[in-house]
Amino acid sequence: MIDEDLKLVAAAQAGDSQAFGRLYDAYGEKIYAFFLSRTRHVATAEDLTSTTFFKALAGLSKFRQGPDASFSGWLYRIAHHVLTDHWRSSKTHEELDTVEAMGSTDDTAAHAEAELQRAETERMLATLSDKDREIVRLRLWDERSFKEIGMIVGKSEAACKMTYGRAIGRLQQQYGET
Amino acid sequence: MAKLDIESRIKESRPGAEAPRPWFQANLRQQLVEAHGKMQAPRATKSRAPWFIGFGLVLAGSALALFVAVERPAPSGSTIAELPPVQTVDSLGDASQYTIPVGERGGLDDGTTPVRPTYVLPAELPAVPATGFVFQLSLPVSDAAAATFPTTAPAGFTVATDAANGAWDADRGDDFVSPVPEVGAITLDQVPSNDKIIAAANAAAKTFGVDNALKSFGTPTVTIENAGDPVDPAQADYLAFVSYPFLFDGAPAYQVFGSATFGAWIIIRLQSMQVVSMHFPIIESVRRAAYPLEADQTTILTKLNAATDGTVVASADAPADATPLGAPELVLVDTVLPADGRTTDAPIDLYEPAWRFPVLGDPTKRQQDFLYVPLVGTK
Repeated sequence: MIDEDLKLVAAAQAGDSQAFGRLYDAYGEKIYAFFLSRTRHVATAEDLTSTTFFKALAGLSKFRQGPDASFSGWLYRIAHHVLTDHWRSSKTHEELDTVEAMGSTDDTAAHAEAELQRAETERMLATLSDKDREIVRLRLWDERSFKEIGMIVGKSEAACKMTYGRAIGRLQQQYGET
Repeated sequence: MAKLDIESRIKESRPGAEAPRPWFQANLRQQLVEAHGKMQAPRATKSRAPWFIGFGLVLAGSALALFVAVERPAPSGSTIAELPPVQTVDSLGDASQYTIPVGERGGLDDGTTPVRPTYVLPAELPAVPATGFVFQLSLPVSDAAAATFPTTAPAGFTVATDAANGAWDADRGDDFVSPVPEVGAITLDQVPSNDKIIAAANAAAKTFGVDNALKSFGTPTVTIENAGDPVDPAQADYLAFVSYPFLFDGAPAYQVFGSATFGAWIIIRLQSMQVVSMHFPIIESVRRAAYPLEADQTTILTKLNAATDGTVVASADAPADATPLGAPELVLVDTVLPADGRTTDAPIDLYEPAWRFPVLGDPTKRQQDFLYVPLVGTK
C-alpha cells in the first residue's frame, strides 16, 4: 500500500492528475473520518477534508520520496495541522452536546447505551493531555502506525510508543476496573 | 486483559463512522483532479501563477459563492446552455508585467520551507462582457481577519482617490480599493453546509425563473431558463450572482448581484425582495459610462423587471442609503492572518490574492468585507 502510494505520488508529481485522484480515493474517507470523529460536525468535517487535500495538492511537489517516506503520514500531518488551526480559529470549542447531531437516528435503548458509553469514554480520554489523547486517538481511532503517528505529531516513533503505553496504562489504572 | 478492554473501548467509542456524502466525495475528487491538471498546464508553459490557479479552485472547492445567470427573454430556437469553463484571472490577457511578489506566506507547516509565491495579476479587472459570464467567488472574512488587511496599496497599484464616490473613508485603510455599498447586517461566522448553499442558490435562482440552476459545486454546469424557457447565454443581458447565503437578522437570506449590460451592479436582498443598494461597474471605462445612471435607479429597476418579467424586484423602493459607488479595483491581499498572531498555516491564507470590496460606512460593519475572486468565463 505504501509502495502504491508512493508510486501514485510520483505519478502525480510528474503531472498525472488521475493519480492524485486515486490518492484521494485511498484517503478521502479516512481523512474525512479523522475530522468527523474530532469535530462531530459533518459540514465542518467536509470543509476540513477539502482544505487538507487542497493543501496536500499545493504541497505535493515538496513531498520527498525516500525509504522513510509515507504519504499517509504526511497527509495526516497536514490534517492534524488543519484541525489544530480549526480549533485555534474557533472562538471556543463547541461542546459535544451542542454540535450537530450525527449519524444514526436510531433511538433505541441500544443506541442510547452506546452513546452513554461513548460519552464516558470521552470523559476518560479527556483526562489525558491533548497530545497524549491525540496519540491514543491516532492509534486506536485512525489505526496509524507509531511511525506515522510520530510524523504527525512531531515526535519519534519510540516516544510515541512510550507515550501511548503510559497513557493506556494510566487509563487502565483509573478505569480498568469498570 | 484490562488494558485490552480499555483499548477496545476507546476503539469502539470512535464517533463519526459515517462515510462522507457521495456528492461531496465526488465533487471534491473532481475539483482536486481539475486543480491538479490546471497546476500542471502553466508549469509546462512556464507560466507564473500555479498557486493562483489552484487558489481559485480552492475557493471554488470551498464553495463560498454561487453563480446563476439571468437572461433576457431568449430568441426562439435558443438552446439550454452550458456555462463555459471557468478561467482563471491570468487567462485574461498579458499579465507579465503584473508579477508581484506578495510576501511570505505560511507553508504547509509540514516541516518544509515556507513558500514565497508570486502571483500574476491581470492588467485590469475583467470587463463585464456584453455576452458571456462573469463568475465571482466571494469569501466572507471575519472582522479580525479583515483588521489584518494591508493598509497600503501594493506596489504597482493605483490608489483610488475618486472623492466623487463620496461614501468612503480613506482613514480606514481602504483607500486603495473602491467601495461598495452597505448590504445590511450580515453575520459572517455562519458557514452553512454545501447542500444548504446549493438549496439556497436554487431557491434564489428560482425567483428569476431559473430552475435548479446549481446542481453542484466545482466547475458549474448550469442550465439557464427564463420563465421556463431555455435561453442562450450569448443572449445574456443580465447576470445575477448569487453570493453566499448570509444570515440577515438571524434568518437566511441571500444576496444577488445583478449585472446589466449598461454596467450597473445591483445588490438585492432576496429576503425582502428589495433592492438594498447598487453600485457601479467593474472597470473604470464602464464605470464612467455608468455614472450617468447613478441617480436613475428606477431605470435600472425597470429594465431589470422587464428582463425578468417583473419577478426580480418586488419593490422598486431602494432604501435611502442605497448609494451608487465606485468601481472596485484590484487589490492584492497579502497573507491574511488571524488575529492570534499565527504566521503559518492560517486557513484563510488560501484566499489571497483577491479582489476586495470593503463595505464602507459604518466601521462597526467591517465584518461585511468580502474577498472576491473574479473568474471570467468567456464564450
